[in-house]
Amino acid sequence: MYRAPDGTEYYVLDGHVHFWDGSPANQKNVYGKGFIECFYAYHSNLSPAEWVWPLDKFEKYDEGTMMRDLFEEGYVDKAIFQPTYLRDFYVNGFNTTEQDAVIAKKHPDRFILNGSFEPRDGEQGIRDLEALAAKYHVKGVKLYTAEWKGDSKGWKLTDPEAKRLLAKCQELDIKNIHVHKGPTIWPLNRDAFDVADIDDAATSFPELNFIVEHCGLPRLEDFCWIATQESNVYAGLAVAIPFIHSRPRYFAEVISELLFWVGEDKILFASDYAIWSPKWIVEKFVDFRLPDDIAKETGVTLGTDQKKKILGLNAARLYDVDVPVALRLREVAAV
Amino acid sequence: MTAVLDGVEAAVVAALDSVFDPELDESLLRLGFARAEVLAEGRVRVDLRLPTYWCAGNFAYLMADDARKAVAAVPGVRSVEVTLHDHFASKEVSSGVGRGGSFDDAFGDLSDGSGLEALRRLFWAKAFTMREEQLLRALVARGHTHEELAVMRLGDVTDGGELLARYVERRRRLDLPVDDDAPLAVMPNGRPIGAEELANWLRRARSTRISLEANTTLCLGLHATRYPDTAEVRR
Repeated sequence: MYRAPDGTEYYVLDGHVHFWDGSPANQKNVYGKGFIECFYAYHSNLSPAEWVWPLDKFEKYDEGTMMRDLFEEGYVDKAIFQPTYLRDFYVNGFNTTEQDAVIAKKHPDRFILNGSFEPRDGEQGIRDLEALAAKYHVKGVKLYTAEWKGDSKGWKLTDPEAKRLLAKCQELDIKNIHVHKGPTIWPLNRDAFDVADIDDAATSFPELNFIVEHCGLPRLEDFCWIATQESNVYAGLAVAIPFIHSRPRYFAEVISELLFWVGEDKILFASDYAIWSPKWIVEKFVDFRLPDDIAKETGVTLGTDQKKKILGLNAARLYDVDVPVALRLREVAAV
Repeated sequence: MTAVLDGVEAAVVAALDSVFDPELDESLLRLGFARAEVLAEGRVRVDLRLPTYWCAGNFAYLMADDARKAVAAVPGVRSVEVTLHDHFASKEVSSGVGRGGSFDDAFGDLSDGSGLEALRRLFWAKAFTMREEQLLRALVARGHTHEELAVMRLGDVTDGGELLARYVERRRRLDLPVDDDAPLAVMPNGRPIGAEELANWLRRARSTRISLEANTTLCLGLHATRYPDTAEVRR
């Protein structure tokens, strides 16, 4: 919970956190090294200087550091573990559900554990998802469509195998599908960040919620257009929200577009920890005021209610989290 | 780079300045992503360094190939060697472009065989949309109504300056008319935009501009983090 200087209290549900091992000992090849170094550049470039870690700490941090950064200092009430397997790049995987589960088990009131599925494993992929659901009762999966696997350099939500797995999610009551559109390599001659498959999947599976991480960036405009057509498409703010520190004008423009096209009920805060730490983001976001010219041009509002929804209430709704009455919106609390 | 460039060097720099990152709609030279060195006997070396290890290989190939062609066309240049550094597809791009082969040849099964032209046109259209929004927005700020914009011709824009020049350049790329009589406000396919549609079109075009600008900001930031010494070039 974050109490702003004006006394307003915000429930904080961080929609995207990691507990990864990107250390050299776990790197399988040059791609594993390239992957963590790419993350580190995002971290170094957009974090305030005092929040920049040395590379070795960033490659592998311990549980105590994470618990402190998220819950003791970072104002986070609950955080969603989003796995990123990358078994072709890392010996033990980069950040698997199993690794997250060890921590989540110790702090059951703090974490929501999400799983993943792998459409390129055929029947085994279905069985793995069933096992994951039975063991951890996950309510969501994180999908990284750019993940390499053998000769495959990525997949789409419209692949028949992916559709079978989405149908299985629906059957297993795994209703929150977090999609990370990284640079999908196949087919390499087409736009690697195309988000059109989300449109198709959202239409085919109306009971599922599709949370598009980093709000479709770098294809924000295509994402916004899809989200206006599909009522079950949401925007995750990872990557976009840290702009608030070094490029506040761009953050204002991006969040205004999202408020205009996607709407205040469908935007979810995410730090993407440990790429960024929630403390400074939450403080700056609550303090943030849209520049007058942008507010006037777009006609959107980013006030206390919108901030409360984005920081926690929207994600709480998707994950059936019981938010303390005092931290809900006033109208809702009165019901 | 020395203050006084000889003829070939100046022409090579100008050639590189004409090559754009298709995704960001900006010159490789101004982005700091490429630099050229003129060696002995008309040999030129072009080094390409992108914001991340994972930047899309297709755009990397387009930029490397465009740079090779632009520099090779400079009189006095006999050979060009383009090297893409620190990238997951460094080898495929550098050697593929060096052989002068097609993208599909360089990447084999990773391509669906239809080449890069559709991708190139898609991003020209996005760049067109951004530049049109920037120009029309400036005209609205000067007091033009949507009704006026919908009937204006290119020749009616006086004092359009750089914004007009940039917009006309992208119209040309999409094979759209650029004469004074051509309608000012058109879709990427050339269809004129009616007054009643213009507000909606501008709203969507604004998203395209913001997406491109945010992407450029992010890429420049990542590039500066990765290659601190090239930040100088951009200033």
